[in-house]
Amino acid sequence: MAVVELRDISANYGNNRVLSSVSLVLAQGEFVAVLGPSGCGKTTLLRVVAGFVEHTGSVSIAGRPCEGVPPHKRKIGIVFQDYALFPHRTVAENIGFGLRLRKLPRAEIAVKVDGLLTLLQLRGLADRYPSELSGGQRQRVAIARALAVDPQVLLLDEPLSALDKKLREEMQVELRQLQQRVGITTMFVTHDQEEALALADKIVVMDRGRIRQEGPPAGVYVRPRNRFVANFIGKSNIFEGRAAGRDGEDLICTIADRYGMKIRSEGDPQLPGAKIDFLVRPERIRLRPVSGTPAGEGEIPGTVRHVVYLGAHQNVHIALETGQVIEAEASHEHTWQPGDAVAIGWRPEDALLLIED
Amino acid sequence: MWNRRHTGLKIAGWTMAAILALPLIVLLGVSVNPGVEQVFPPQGFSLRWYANLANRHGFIDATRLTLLLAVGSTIVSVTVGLLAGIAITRFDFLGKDLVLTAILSPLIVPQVVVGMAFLVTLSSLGIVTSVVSLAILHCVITLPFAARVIVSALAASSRSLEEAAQSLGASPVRAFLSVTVPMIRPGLVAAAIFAFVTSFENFTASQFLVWDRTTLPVELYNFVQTESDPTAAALSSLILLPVIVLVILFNSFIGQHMFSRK
Repeated sequence: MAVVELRDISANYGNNRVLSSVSLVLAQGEFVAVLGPSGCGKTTLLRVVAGFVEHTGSVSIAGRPCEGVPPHKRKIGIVFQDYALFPHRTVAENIGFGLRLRKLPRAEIAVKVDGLLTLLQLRGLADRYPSELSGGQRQRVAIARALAVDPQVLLLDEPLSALDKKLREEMQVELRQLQQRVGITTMFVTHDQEEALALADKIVVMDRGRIRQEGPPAGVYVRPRNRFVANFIGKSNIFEGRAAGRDGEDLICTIADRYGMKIRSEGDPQLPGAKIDFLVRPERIRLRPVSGTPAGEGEIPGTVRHVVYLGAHQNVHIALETGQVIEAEASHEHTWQPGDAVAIGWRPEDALLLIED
Repeated sequence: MWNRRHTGLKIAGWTMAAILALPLIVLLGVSVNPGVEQVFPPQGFSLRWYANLANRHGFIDATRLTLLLAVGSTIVSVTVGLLAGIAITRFDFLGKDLVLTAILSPLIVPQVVVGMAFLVTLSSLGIVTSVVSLAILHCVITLPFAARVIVSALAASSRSLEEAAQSLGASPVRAFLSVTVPMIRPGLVAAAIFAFVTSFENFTASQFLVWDRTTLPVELYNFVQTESDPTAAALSSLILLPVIVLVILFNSFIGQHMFSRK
């Protein structure tokens, strides 16, 4: 069942269009990461759900249309980037804030606050003020406060960005476990692709106010539909070529009018001469030293530019004879030196056709 | 080396403090003179000039008016300053900068000009009652002080706090009252003190609007033009009292909140 349904949302800041006909559905209990570079409209989208932004199009939460419903009647929980804890209230008062507004009996509030303190491992901190807490504790208080009012949907605006790397990774795991235990539908805004891949059931990639692709993390990583997603999620080498024919289930594509390369492509017929964009991930590039045998069929010659040692593997930057510079991930079987002549290639199934611009 | 410099600084500091305090000490001394001369050191100790204040109906009336104006203009300027502050910090509208400049302009325009402008404007409008004209004047004069402090307090309070409160079920008004107001409370108190003091001590502009009644500073000035006994010194000493209370209040409340916040 759809808990949050956004249909054809557009929004402007002054003359700037920040969202262009965005439609998105969050199913019950789903953890959706909205991913994109800063300024792509992802935070605005979250604020549309919360009711803080004027927009066209429709929002409904738990089947109820939200048009004209102010934020305080929307049954949402938000965790802001700066946590927005009330500085003059204690941890317990912060968490109980929404419950007191609902005029629940004092004993009931105490029980509920107590439960949340336990759930988020904040026992013993009930009487502290936010200024006396660490970053991770503040964030847990912010989550507890948002959960206290039993919202239909939890909105998280870059909640981990203020934490250092180690704590951030710990909190990722914790956040995911908590979300699953509580079973709450969650919309998580982030610019960090690893965070999105690690946490979400569904990733929504945004750029310049539009959704460029959505789907499960593995799907988006393995099958990016366009250049933007290919570059934003994981590293990509993007090649441009022209369709030259077919060889069984493979499409033959010429690069720089010289090198015939194969791309696995079931079904979609490409007119000969049609322009084709495709990508090969660095870890899928095959490298071969060219000592005696020159680059053969299905290979492109090049020269090693420089090598970055990364422990488990090495990143080899290669200037191809087509003029393009690509990156390949290589094992330590062979030691690469700048200036080495190489030939690159790939298995047809490792080349991914980009079906949009 | 360091110690000597320290001593030098101390001496300089205490000298400055003494120079600041000296006139006030002389004033207090003069006020307790038993005779009609204003001399220092006093030739004895007497509170007769303090007692004499009770007979000076002009002073009593002026005090009443001054306090009324100070309290009234404080309430008005803090309220208007708060509303203007909300508008300026929370909303975008055409001519926002102009509004802010207009509110703050009495800070820059010389008081003599303000007083003169009010005199000609109000008399041409036929408003020639001191109470009404002074009330308007004092609200205008105190507003920039209150507004400045409140605008910066509001600008410093994070918008996301109010939004967080709203997401938890508070209406926008409720969110403002329960989250933002406590945060800007030191600013509101400072604004009120600034406004009160500004109104209470205003002389330059107020003296233009003496029709039927006037304020304490103006009355005091008029008095010393014609009389030379220590009554004025006694009154001035009495005025010091609430000022000292306000300074202590300011230091303990605002100082604590504004400057030692971690």
